Amino acid sequence: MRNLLLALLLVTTALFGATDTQLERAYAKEFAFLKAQKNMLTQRLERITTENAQKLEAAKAELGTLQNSVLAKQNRSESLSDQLYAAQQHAQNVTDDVSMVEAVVLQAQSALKPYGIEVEVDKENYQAALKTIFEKADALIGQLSAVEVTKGPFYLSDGTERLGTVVKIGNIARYGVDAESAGALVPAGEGKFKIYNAPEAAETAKVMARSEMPATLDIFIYENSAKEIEDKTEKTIISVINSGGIIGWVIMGLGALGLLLALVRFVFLTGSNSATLPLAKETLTHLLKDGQEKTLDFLRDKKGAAPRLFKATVRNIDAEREHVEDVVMESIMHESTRLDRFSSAIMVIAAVSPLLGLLGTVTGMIATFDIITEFGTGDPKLLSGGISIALVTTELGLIVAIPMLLLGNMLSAWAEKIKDGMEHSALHLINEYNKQK
Amino acid sequence: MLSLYLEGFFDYMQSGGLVMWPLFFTAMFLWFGLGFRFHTLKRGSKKSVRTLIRKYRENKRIATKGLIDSAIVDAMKIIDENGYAVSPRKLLDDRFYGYQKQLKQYSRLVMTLVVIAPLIGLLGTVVGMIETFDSLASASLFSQSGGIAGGISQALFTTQLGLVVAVPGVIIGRLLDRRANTMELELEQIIDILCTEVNEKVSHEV
Repeated sequence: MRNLLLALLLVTTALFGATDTQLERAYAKEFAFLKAQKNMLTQRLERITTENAQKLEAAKAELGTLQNSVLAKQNRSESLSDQLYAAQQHAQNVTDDVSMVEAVVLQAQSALKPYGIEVEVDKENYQAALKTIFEKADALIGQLSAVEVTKGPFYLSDGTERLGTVVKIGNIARYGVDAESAGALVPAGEGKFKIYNAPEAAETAKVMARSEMPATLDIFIYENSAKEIEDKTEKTIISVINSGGIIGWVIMGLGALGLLLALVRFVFLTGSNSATLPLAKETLTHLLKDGQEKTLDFLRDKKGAAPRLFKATVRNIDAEREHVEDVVMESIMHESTRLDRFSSAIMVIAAVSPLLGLLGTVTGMIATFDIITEFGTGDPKLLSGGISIALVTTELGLIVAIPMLLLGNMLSAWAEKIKDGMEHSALHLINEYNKQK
Repeated sequence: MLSLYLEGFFDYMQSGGLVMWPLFFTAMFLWFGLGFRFHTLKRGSKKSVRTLIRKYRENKRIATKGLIDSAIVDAMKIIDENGYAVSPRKLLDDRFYGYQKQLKQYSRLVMTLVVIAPLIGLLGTVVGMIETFDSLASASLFSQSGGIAGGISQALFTTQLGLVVAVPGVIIGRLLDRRANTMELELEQIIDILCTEVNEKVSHEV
């Protein structure tokens, strides 16, 4: 066995020994081949890597240039849109300017037309048109701002035509003077002129016609010569009352009535206002000298409240003191109805007339507001005219009330004074008679 | 100097329009009345009526300074003249009539003017308002008669002035009326005191 094994070993070793060199050779061959391949691959890798790096660099550079160009294009687009906007604005301005120039030209045409100046406008050449307009307007202003004295026709207030000297102060005022009449001229419509009914302007007109400067310039300035100016209406008392309507007349009627009553009362009081104390003294002397009957005769001739009172007193003078005083008081009561007549009526008128005035004002205000509901608040003339008429009644009411209050109070005070005086004189008469009898 | 003041005054009167002169005269009469009343309503001594009568009776007081003083002197003179035979009440009434008349003098005028002054002011306001609205209607801002601005200033001014005239008049007038009332009561007190004295003496003698 051992031999066998040894033989085997020898065989294998010999076998293997024989193949070992072959193997080595094969291995080396293989190794060389592989090594060459590895070298080749390494070289290839290196080449590719450098190639890639180069390409990346190139691409990066290209990206940068592209980005720059995009930025530049964006900027350009912005600036272009700005320019576009500016151009649009400019176009708008130009249109506005054109319409403004057109409006100016139109206005100038219509303004110059009344003075007979026609302006031809070439749509292509506004500058020339404007130039002519301004030249003509300048000349017109020079012409209109001058004071000019000419011969010309004008009308009087009643419509008769006169031929005389006309002083034109520009285009805003005129004076007309002829042999008989002179005054400020105002438009009467259709380019004609009439003399205004303001007499204070006559002197100015005469001085102006002599081409002199007046000390005071009474002038009527009108806006345009086409619109007729109405003559100013003088406010008369009747027209003022009339503008207050029915209530205005009622108040004035009450005022007249009150005045009449005050007058009647005044007459009554003057009739009663004889000097009572001197009369009492006179009566006393008669009484002491001539006796009761003669005194009564003496008093019978006299008229008025005080003699009537003294008659009653003298008739009862010898009676008891209290009885005499009762008679005196009764007589004074009797006289006082006459002395106080109409006193309350006058005071009632004084109290009622302002109230009536207020009523008229409220009525007028209601009418004014009716006008507002109908025509709106557009025309201030309509409203303020109504309000001024409404206030007239209050004015009238106060005008009636104030004198009535004064008169009524003064007459009442007077009547009281007369009554006090009568009472005192009667007392004095009785006292003195009792003392001296 | 004086003409300057006068001119200023007339300008002032112009600024209120037509009602200024009536208002001015109202104020003049009012203050005349108030001054007159203030002057007449002087009582004289501050002492009470009883003390005064005693003093005069004892001849410690001779000078008469005011209305009550002279009334007492008058009354005592009448009683002395008349003796104590008849009741002096009627004689004193007769004698005091003049004093009572003096107490009442111008009181009615003052009260009437005090009522009238604001009314005149109101009238001026209404006139100014009419002027204003007239001017609005004719659209004339300034005119010889005043225009809008003139109307408004006139309207505001006169009411103010009317009140300025009236308010002091009311206050002073009321004060004076009160004084007059007290003095009237005092006159009656004098009569009462003297009559009681006379009655007492008469009953003593009987």
